[in-house]
Amino acid sequence: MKVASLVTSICLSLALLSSASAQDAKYPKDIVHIVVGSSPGGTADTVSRLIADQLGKTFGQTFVVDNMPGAGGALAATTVKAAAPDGYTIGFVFSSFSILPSLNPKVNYNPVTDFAPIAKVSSAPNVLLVNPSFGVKTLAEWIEKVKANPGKFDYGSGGIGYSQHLSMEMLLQAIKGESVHIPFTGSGNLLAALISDQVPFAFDTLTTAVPHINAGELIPLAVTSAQRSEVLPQVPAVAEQVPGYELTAWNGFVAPKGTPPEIVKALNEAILAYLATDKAKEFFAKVGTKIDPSTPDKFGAVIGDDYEKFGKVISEAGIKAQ
Amino acid sequence: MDFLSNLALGFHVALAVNNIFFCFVGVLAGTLVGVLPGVGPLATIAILLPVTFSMEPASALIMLAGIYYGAQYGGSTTAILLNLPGEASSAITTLDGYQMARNGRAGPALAAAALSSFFAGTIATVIVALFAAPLSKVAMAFRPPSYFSMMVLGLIASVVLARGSVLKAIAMVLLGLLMGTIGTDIYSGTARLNMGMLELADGVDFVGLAIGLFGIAEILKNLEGHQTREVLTKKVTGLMPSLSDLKRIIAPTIRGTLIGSALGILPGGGAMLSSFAAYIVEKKVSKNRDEIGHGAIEGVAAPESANNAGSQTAFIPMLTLGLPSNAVMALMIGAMILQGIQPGPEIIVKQPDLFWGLIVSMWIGNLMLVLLNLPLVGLWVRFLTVPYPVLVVAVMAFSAVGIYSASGTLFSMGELGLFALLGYVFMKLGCEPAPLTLGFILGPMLEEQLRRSMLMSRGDPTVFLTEPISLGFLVAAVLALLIICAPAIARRREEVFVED
Amino acid sequence: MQNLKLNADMAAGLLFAGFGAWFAASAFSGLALGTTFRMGPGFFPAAVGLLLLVFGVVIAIKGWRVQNETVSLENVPWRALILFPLGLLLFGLAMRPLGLVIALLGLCLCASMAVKGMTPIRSVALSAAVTAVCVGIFSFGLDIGLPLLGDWLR
Repeated sequence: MKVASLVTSICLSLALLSSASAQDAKYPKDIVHIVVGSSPGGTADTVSRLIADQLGKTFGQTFVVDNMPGAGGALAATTVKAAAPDGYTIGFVFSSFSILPSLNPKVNYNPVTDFAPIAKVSSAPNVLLVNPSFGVKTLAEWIEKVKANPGKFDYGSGGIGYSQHLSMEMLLQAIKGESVHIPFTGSGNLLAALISDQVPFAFDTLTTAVPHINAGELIPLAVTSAQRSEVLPQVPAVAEQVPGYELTAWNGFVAPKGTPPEIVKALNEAILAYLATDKAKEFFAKVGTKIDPSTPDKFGAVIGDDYEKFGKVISEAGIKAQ
Repeated sequence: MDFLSNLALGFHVALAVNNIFFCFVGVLAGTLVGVLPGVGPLATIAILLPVTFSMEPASALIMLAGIYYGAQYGGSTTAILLNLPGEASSAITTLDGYQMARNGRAGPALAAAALSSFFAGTIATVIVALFAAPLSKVAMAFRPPSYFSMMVLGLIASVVLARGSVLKAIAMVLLGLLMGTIGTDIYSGTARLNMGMLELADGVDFVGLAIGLFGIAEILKNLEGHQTREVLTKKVTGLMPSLSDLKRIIAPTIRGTLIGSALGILPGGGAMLSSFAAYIVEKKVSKNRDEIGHGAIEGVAAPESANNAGSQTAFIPMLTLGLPSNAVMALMIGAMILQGIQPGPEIIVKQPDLFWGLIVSMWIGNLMLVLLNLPLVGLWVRFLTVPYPVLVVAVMAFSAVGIYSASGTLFSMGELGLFALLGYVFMKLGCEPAPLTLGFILGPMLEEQLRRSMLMSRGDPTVFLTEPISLGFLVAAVLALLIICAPAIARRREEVFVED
Repeated sequence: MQNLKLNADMAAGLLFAGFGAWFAASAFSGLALGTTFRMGPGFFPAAVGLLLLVFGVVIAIKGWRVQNETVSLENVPWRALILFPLGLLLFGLAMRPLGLVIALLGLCLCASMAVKGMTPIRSVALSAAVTAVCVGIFSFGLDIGLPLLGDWLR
């Protein structure tokens, strides 16, 4: 069933129409639309709504969130790409933004050349989880066991091309191991499968996994960030065993290519100012992701690096949609 | 005793003045939203989610849960009165509920729906309270082959849904399965069968399909008359169910409650199937099984109780494991995370007040719904005395706005119109839409579990026989097939004898 | 078309066969079927599509041989069959540029004119009333965020 978005996307055309006249005076003169490629209620949606609310206060103008779920976020990204580059349509994107174009040739945008990055907002690592019955307690043991049994074990993910999937493909390619990918629909179903031992191991988002780790149902072997996570300081980073391995799931704002730099700068400053407040810290602590603000340039570099890195992983693993 | 002290804690939380208030707001909003076609609990919860940021965690969850089961209540109201199902579960209620309404018995149908739902809610609450932890373990024993075999059983049993030709019912199920495959393939990310339309990337919208096939198609059929009837139904006789009505719904309600409770626990979307399953069972075992499909009160009580029980026990995997069994539950988990609560195994231990408060509030909410809805029955039934042209226009307007507000696309309007036409054609050709709906819901799950089973077994199909639960379902499926075919074979032989 | 009759089983069978053939053909031609180990996106639609094709043909043959269920096309509400989808499409088209109020009015006019014996005056009055109620519930009651007036009118 299609998940519905109530704050509809009708207004998109509004932004298109109204924008032409709005170049002259101070930005923003009209409603600003934030296109989000997820359904209402998810973490990404909530984060974007919170920031929209804050930007509205900062600029004294309404910022509305248009939910545009569909095609894993590609529908939303394509919409932002096609919008007029005047600052009245911006997108809130997450890691899949730089993964989808490599995965699916029909996805018609380039994350680097078609967009002007505004700011990264937050980031979170994935964690490699194993069911206790698998009988390994450390990453080294896991690597040994997987390498000794190529193609014997299954691993799960929240869906094809999700960061959970690519985390594992990257690791398997680095250690030259083989394992069969079983995609599930979303993190919740993936965790269910892991706990009930349908699949012995998988990467999943750190925050959703923590309660199951604390209950002893799953064993964390390693986190995907370059450094250890503050949430689970006893768990090593994959990079400690496999040098150079790094993957973090992030989210942030982008605008269509050609958006005036002064508008991008104004938005960046407003977002960063909000992220520095105690209120924001409290909220992100609840959601469980780390505030990770950046300048437009640095965010662009992250997007570009990921695009290149994941493109390579995907083509090497031979993952592709038709 | 643990159970009693837990319940006492629950009542303590749920009966706090503010929580009672939020519970009431939730069920009221849910009922109203449920009555509007096209606006479901999912949309409502999504709108109200930001409001809950500033609320106490327990109050927030109590209100959101109230919307969820309130909307299911409201949904059955329009299903019975206007043949407008807003959700998978109420698609089944239309079958007998709408027939009853046409026979002038909308009142008893609505009351039966309310009473059986309340009964089911009460029992399911006790089940959740007593067995939440052990039952979640049972759910975990279900592996992909088991799910697949369970759905095969469901598909075979669904043939019973046919009121007319069995062959056509099977064809409708198959067509439903196929329509369910439109969209994005989860195993390859491939967009398939969408005729190149990005709007179909997430598949055919269930609400548009159901409202078109059932509700608007029914209006088209009613417009066939030589001169339009001014009023939809025969004279309304009696608002409340008679004593014999009540006696007739006892057994179906109990059966429906048990079926719903069992299916609701399964994280693989069992709750969605509960009303179908209960109806199918009733059609086979009820004393009045011949009347079912033609406006029998059992055909309302069974699916309504199953649906309510299922949506209640669906909280078990959500609360104890942090696993959503449907999109609404996924949103609820989102709401909990925003409150700083990580749903999962620790929640009962770490936040017993929240856990038990929510469970007890569900029962209180159900009580409120009965108290709210029984007096409203009279009001709802009056809608049927509205001149038919007014009803036609209102249904079209509400359906269009409801669906458009959720999708925001011109496409969804075309989709609704297309399904209305298709529904009318099917009706003319003697094909029932209910089996198609079931196929549409089962299709994606069936394929997902089939392919997952085959991936895990490395392509070995015997896995469906070696897994004990799966084998059990397959045996049951074969038995069901025999039971369904037996009368047909017997009849054929009789016919042969007659010809002799 | 006073005496036009349609063999229901044959028509239904052919309709099913057509659907089955379309799904199977699309799956075979455009989608990977895969292996039993790694089933492709086309496997399930192809298999079920073929099955539906078979069932459709069986139903059609049965209808051709028995010919007992006929459907009269006498009472088909052609006006509603055209006006309902048209009204919905107009609604969808009018939403962005003209807004909820006008879009609803158009839809209601279409829907009401589909009812036999409707006069223009009653149709307009009815449409205005339903539009008012609908706007009241959805825009003021639920605040679903659909603009009352569209882009062109602001």
